[in-house]
Amino acid sequence: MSRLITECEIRNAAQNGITFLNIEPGTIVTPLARDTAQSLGLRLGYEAGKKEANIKADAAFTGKAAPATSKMIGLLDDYLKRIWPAEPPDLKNLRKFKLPPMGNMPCVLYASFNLFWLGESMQVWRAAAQKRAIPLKELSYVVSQDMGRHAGRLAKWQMEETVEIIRLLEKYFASQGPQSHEDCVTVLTRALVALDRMQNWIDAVIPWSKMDEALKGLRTLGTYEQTGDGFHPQAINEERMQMLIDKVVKQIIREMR
Amino acid sequence: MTQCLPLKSTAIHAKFAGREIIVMVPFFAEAENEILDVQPGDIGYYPGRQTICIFYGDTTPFGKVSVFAKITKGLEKLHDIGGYILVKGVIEAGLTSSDKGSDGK
Repeated sequence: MSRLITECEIRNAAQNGITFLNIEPGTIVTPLARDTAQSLGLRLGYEAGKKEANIKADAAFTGKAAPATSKMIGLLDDYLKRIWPAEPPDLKNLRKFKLPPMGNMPCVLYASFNLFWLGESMQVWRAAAQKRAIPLKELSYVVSQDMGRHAGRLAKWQMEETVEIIRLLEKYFASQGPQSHEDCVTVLTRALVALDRMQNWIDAVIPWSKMDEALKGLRTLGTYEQTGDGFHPQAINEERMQMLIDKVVKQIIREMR
Repeated sequence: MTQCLPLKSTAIHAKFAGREIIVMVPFFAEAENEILDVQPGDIGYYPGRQTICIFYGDTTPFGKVSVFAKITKGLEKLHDIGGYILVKGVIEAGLTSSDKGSDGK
């Protein structure tokens, strides 16, 4: 490991599915490298005794050729088999994140959105492949870019297995893995089922009914008057509102086990 | 659908649509005669999320569903179950086949 980490090393690491880079004391990390790591969701840190990089991807695909279609399908099926029956390890990792840097909405909500919109994107790309609406080369390119963005967003939740599979998809499409539109449809269909299952797990732990009840309570604390130039809040008991918010947030965090 | 039975999955409650229980299934199927105007008792497949949607009361689905079955008895029991799932968040669910189809299989 070099004593200088640049943007190049960060991008290479992210492309290889790495989500945590173990930086030894004394190593210089350039400001651009730090910025890039943050934008790609790659964590930098030092853990004594830990291997240089936390790589869980199949070694055959780390830093080497992208998987062929049949292998990509196999990887997706294996991922689905692992996460289907019981709460996946990625969800256990996600539970460690309680609240974001600001606001009272639990982090699981944001992670759920991340995966939800990936599912929506894949539906669009799948339909485009089915209709052959976009030439294969261009379609593969945009799908790989889309996968890369979503992997970057998800990486901050330490959902390593999920990020890994998305990075492999990114690599598969970036290397023009699909040999036909049918390959695209097949792979995206498998990816949809697998990653939507993960999103389903996350959705299930969001305290929806508690948040719903809290909002119902908040609405009774104040009303709005409509005038010609819009809506204006009437007098609101702000102290009581803050107490209620604090109480609800603490309860939500407690119940998220 | 029948090929993946018996199936163990999880059930959640709809957050947007209304009185709907949702069970995820491990396959993708193309939309077929999909509709928005569902009725209590309708059971449909939602390709948008690969879920079986069980509508047990007033519902405005999140998206069009391919209705393929209808609850013929016990619909009223789902109100209590739905309420339980809504508060609980998620429960284990199993899908099994107990009747033969029209082709005898």
